[in-house]
Amino acid sequence: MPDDVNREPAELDTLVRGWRHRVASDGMLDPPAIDELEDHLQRSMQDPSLRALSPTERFTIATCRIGHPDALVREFTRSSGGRLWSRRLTWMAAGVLGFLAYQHLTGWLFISALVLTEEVVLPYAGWFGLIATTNGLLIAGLCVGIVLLGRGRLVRERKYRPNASTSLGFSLWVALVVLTATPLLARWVALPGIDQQAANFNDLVKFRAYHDIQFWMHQVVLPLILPGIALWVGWRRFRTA
Amino acid sequence: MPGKDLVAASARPLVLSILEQGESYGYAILQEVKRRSGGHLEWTDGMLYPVLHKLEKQGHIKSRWDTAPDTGRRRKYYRLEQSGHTALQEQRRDWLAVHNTLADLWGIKPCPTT
Repeated sequence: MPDDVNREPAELDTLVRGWRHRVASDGMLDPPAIDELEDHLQRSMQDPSLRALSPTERFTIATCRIGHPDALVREFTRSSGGRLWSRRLTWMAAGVLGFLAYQHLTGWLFISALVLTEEVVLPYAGWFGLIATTNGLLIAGLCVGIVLLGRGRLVRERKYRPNASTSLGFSLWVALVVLTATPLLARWVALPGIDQQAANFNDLVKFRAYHDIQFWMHQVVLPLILPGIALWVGWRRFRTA
Repeated sequence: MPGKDLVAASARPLVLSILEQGESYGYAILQEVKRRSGGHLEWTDGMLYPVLHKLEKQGHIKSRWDTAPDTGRRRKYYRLEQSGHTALQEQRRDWLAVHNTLADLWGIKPCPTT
């Protein structure tokens, strides 16, 4: 039955991928740790005592032997408390950076829309847009980078760097430096439009819509997002405790 | 079958002792524990890895990735470091002290401590 022979390894592959996904879904285990567990699972399925069984049955027994994914994650996190907290802080930083990116980009879009609808040609408005967009894109890029690193997509095939959190910390530091330095640099070199930017900002606050956006951002969205992240981290902690 | 706490406590000296005999990997270490204990000591397989990772973090063992001859997949191999040998000596002394105390109380011949 060649069809069955071909179907079973494919089915087994799907099962192993599903198991891997389940173990990785908490984001608490490093990709190398998951690779190591998967190698164990594969080796376990080759156990001579299971030879007479079907691949699916071998998979079921091997996963029972290796332990429930939740128990595995719990055991790993218990033995690596420090690394776990650095990872949680990284995810929190990703959340805050994501929000900042959203704020920068929406601010820029709002101003662009305002310029178009009011048919106001801001003198040297390009500089203003450039600075806001550069910051927004930089933060958004970093945020995506952090998420990918956290999921192990960037370093998985290459040699694993055990101090990935150090790299992330460095990235955050660079982001803060750039975010602080960009407006300062713009003022220092007296970029055309920097005064206009301040003046136009003062004009902008006259618009009710701008006030509304500021209100929603600072009084509603931010106060909801940060406790939301804290609650989410707490819930994960409770679940893995 | 020993209780969960005793199994957890014995994991460290068992792993160090097995690695003292040469480089090995997770699955093989578990098989060796099962064989040596005559099936009396059985862990949930996945629980071994946090122990290995902790020992590596403490510098007692060192790991390397290589291609497994049986599966052709990447596999993590562990070997004992110098500090691991020292840690093993300490473990041996402590466990023999416990063993000999109990052996004395139960009227069994104690083990040599060296």
